[in-house]
Amino acid sequence: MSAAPLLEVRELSLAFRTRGGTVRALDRVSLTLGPGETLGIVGESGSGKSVLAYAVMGLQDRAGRLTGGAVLWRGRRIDRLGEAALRRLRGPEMAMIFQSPRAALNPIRRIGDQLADVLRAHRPLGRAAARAEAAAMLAQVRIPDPAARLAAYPFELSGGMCQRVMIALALACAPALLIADEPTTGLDVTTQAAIMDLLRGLARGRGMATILITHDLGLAAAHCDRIAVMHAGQLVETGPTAAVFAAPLHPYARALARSVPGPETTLATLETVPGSLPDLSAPDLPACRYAGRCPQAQPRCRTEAPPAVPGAAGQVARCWNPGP
Amino acid sequence: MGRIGARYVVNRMLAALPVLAGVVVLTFVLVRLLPADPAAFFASGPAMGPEEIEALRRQLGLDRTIPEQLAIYVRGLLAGELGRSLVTGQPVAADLAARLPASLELTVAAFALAVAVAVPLGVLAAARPGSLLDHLVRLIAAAGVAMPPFVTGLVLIHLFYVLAGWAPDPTSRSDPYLPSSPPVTGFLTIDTALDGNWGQFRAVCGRLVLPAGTMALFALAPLVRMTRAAMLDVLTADFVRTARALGLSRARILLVYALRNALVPVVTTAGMVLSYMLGANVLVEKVFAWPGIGSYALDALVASDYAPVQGFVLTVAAIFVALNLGVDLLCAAADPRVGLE
Amino acid sequence: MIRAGQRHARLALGANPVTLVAAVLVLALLLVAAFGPVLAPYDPLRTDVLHRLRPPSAAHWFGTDHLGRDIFSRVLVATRLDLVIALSAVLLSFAAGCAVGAVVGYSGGLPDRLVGRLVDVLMAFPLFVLAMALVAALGNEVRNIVYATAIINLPFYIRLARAEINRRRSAGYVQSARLAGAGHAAILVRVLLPNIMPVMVVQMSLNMGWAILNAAGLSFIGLGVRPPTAEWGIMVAQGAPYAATGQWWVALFPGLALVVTAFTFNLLGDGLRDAIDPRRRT
Repeated sequence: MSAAPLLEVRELSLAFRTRGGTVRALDRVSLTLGPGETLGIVGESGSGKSVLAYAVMGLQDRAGRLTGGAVLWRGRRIDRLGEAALRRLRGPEMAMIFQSPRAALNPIRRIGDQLADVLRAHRPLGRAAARAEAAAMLAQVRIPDPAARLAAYPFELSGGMCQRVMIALALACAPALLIADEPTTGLDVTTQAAIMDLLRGLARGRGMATILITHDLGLAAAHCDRIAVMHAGQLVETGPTAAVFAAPLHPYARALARSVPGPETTLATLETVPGSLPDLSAPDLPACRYAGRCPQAQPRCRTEAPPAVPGAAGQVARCWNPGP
Repeated sequence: MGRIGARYVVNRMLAALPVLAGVVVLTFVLVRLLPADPAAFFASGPAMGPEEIEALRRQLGLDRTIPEQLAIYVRGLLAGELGRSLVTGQPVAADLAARLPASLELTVAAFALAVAVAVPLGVLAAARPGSLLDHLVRLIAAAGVAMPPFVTGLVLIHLFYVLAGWAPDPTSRSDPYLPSSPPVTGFLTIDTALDGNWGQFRAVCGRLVLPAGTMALFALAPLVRMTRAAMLDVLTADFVRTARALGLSRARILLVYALRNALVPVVTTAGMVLSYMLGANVLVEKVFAWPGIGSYALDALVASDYAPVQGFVLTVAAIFVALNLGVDLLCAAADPRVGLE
Repeated sequence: MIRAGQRHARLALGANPVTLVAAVLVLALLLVAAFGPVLAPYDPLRTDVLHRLRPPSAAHWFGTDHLGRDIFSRVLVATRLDLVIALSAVLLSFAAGCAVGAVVGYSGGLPDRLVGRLVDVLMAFPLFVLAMALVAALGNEVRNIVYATAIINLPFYIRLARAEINRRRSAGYVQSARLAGAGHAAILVRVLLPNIMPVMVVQMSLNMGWAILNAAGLSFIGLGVRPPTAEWGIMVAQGAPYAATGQWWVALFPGLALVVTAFTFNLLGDGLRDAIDPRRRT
């Protein structure tokens, strides 16, 4: 990774204030991403993957507050920017697509108008020009008969089509980074493959960096250059995809890698990660939040923050007792 | 509007028919329940003996069976026949037609005022939940529903007529010392404007302010409450998050994305509020001596003159049914998914 | 059961101080309703033409009306009548609404559709106008104000009970009661009705303020209560002519009593609703 990082997340912590107490949803998460690179963030649901993505975009909801660390975009801090400055970044610099694409589109606005809204929010385009560009975008995401589809409402399209429209919206202003949050959840398998191929093709063609957030390890392994494993708001291991899957260091990463069903897996041999995520609003969270589930936990896992341990293949784990 | 299928419109209209029929039957039953025998009313003169009353009963069809009477009643209704008022001596239909514009002018003005205030307030409150404005809006919503129009009306009269002297005499629709304009629509604001009678136009508008303000206060609370709730709901929707993630401007998100989507519940509530206002008309018209159908029905009620009451109930219920139909069609126009079924 | 109810109430009231204040105020209103005649410094009906239309003073806190009656005493004494009218109306529509709504909601089919239609028709009338017509038709008496107010509220209770029963009809605990051999009547009365009670009771407390205003509105236009009875609506009506001539206190204080009472019940209702269903908090 010789290029200057596009995105750098430094020791980022985030907490939600709720009626049930403060939920410490992110705990000193650090990662970097170079231009054109594809990073997969994996972990169980509730591990903080989406929260991290929203925090990068400045989209966390009102109850969420950054409690430490920084987010740098092309070397400039963006975690303290106001809404107006963030707005200029969202779209032309970074964009995001979501799961349940149908809900992510405005249900009562024609998709052509929604595309034109995004284009005209960032560029001085006339109506006709925006319309032409919108049709071009639909063609890029391989929607047949794009000019006619401009007049369609989301409810008139299939889930896969809606996700293509969502991708067109996100790429309309040619961002340098696309965050895809579970982009294929809820789509059928063939559609999933088509959407992922489309995403990868577009990202390569444009030299666009991608963060793929998923709980589907197979998907992450197939499409990402690097993998970051999250657990309970902590980033436990990062590294090149092959290294993280073939020689994971962190016990949680190992457990996850084992839980990926292979062709010869049967229900009897399918392993899941034992235990469940700790309560993130508990005042006495262990320093390593996996300590409560970890078969090789030591007393200091609960009291001292684990160090970053590099592995042979370029992976880095945060663990007191990393295994081979 | 072209989007809404003709079939949807027809379906909604057909669905309104049974309700309208139910309204007619119920009004008929109400009349049958009325304490006084209508024949005894007409025959209250000293010269009337039992035979004369009996003759009158036959003439009025009161000796027939109930279904026959209902049929006669419906036939009369279809012919626009609502009976005759004992107090004014006029056909009720004519009386109502003469007074309806005054009521409508008041209601429409009040409704427009309420919507113009309530919707922006609700949107702004939802845009900043927990802010000072939000708390103010919640207070209005909670207190507003506890304010009966006959109390707010009197308070407004005291404040703006007695104390401040800003408002004109709260007992007439126009200035009796200025020339009046020829009636065209019956809406004095429109008639005077058409006539170019600007002095009277100002007088008419001035006299509309207090009663309309009273009714608007009454309508404000449910409107503001529903706008705020619907907006809060929509603002948490996925597509609003999408719009933010793509860098759309705050105003565009709030007005084009959120408000348009919140419109269906708001329009539905607005329809309900408008129909409540038709009922509350009675109280406001009494407080301000407004010559509308509400005060007409009230005067008749006090004089035990039931045909106008019945005509009034029927008129208002019919307006209400039409209004609901309008609301359905508006919702279909606001949301392309509604008209499909 | 009762202890659980108490715990429930404590929870509901403790969660929101506003609700607690509203509950205390409602209690105070009930006390005034009970002891109003004892608390009133003057006879609410005694006229004193020499001291008519006097503004509020130390002797007459709320002033005197056009017949020289003490408005403070009249406002206090009227509390009972206003609350009794509203409460009886609300209880009536609650009982009838629960019964009808639960039965048709449980049975479904034709009765359900018929009642649904009837509810639609009732709701097609502007409610206040319907109440007016009903009082006119039934006779100009106080008890008919109760009936009219109950009838115009009935559709809301029927609707709610129907919907709530419908939602629970095939719930697990109903199925298990059925498997245990309980008949339809037993399921309805012992299983389903207790389950929808919280929602219905909240509806009742939300409805109370509205019923008070509605009943007062009817007497304001001269229906039901007759002078010289002390009742807030009719007192406002009697004070109305004096609002335009500057004697604001005659109408204002009974009007305020109405507003405060309705507001208090609404606050309590809102708080209770939030307590049983936090999602609907608005």
